[in-house]
Amino acid sequence: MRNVIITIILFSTTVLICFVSVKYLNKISNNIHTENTSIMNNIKDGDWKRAMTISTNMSKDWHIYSNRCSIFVNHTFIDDISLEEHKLEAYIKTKDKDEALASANSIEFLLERIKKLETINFENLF
Amino acid sequence: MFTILLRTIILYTLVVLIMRIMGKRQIGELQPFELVITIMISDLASLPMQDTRIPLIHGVIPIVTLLFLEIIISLLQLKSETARLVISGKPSILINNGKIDIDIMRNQRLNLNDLMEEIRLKGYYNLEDIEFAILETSGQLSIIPKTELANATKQDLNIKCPQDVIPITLILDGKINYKNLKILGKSEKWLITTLHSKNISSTKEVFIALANSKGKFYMQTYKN
Repeated sequence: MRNVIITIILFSTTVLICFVSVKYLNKISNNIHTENTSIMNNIKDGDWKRAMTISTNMSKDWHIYSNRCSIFVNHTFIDDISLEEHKLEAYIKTKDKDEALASANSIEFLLERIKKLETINFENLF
Repeated sequence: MFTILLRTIILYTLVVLIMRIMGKRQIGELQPFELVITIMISDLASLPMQDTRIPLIHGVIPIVTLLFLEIIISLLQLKSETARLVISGKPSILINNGKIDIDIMRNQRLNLNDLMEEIRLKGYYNLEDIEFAILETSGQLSIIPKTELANATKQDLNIKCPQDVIPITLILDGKINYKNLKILGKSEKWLITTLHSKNISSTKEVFIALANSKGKFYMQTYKN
């Protein structure tokens, strides 16, 4: 009976970890998505200074988030986002509109992809 | 590099713990569902062990889930006859009343050589000596020989003898096991006196000392 209780506790903890990690992932995705969208809008409007400020903030936020979510997200995805985020910062610095928008789009796509991978649906199950 | 080392230690500890929780069945004769779980666990643990891009939790979650499934299936089997039948199947009688059941042999895709090999491994050399041969759900073969060929027991020969008991270790590697001494109902003083009577001055000289299945004191020193 002791083994059954230990198993139930272990399993419940695992399910709880799954819930918390998915919730956290959604939260950080939304935060980064908001920042990324405003960077894209500022780039489109030609407000490079404002885009740079938001990009720096996003970089700081991502640094904190990536450390935490590397516990439950494949590190390849995190590395890809970090790389794109660095590229974006460099393109904003050089005021390269096309490349900056492409990088911002990539970040958005990668964030969506991580979120989608955690969704329970037919595609992910099979 | 050190990450892999630490990951290996963590995963090894986890898998050992999981196997302990799964119980002794998992390291003995395996039922089909237990075999599947054991193979899967070993594979799941090795993946995040090698690939540092995969978070450790991605290995831990399926392992814990498999443990949960194993426990649930074991409980189901314990409580329900139908579940036992569905999950583990039922034993197949390969030799029934001294005759090989060819249909069942065919069903189990077992050839005569396999059967003969198993029978020989059980210590029987003639097919006609066997009354029943049962292929258990764990894949083991149980054999019931013809009654007149079975070994005679003490009961058959009317020999009366006391029941053997579990041997109790009293000293192991020079260290006294006080818990076992208490179970035996003896004191440390008794143990020391017994050792003195065998010209042993200290327990440190003793490699093993136990009360054997007949209740008699047995010991071996390092010098032996």
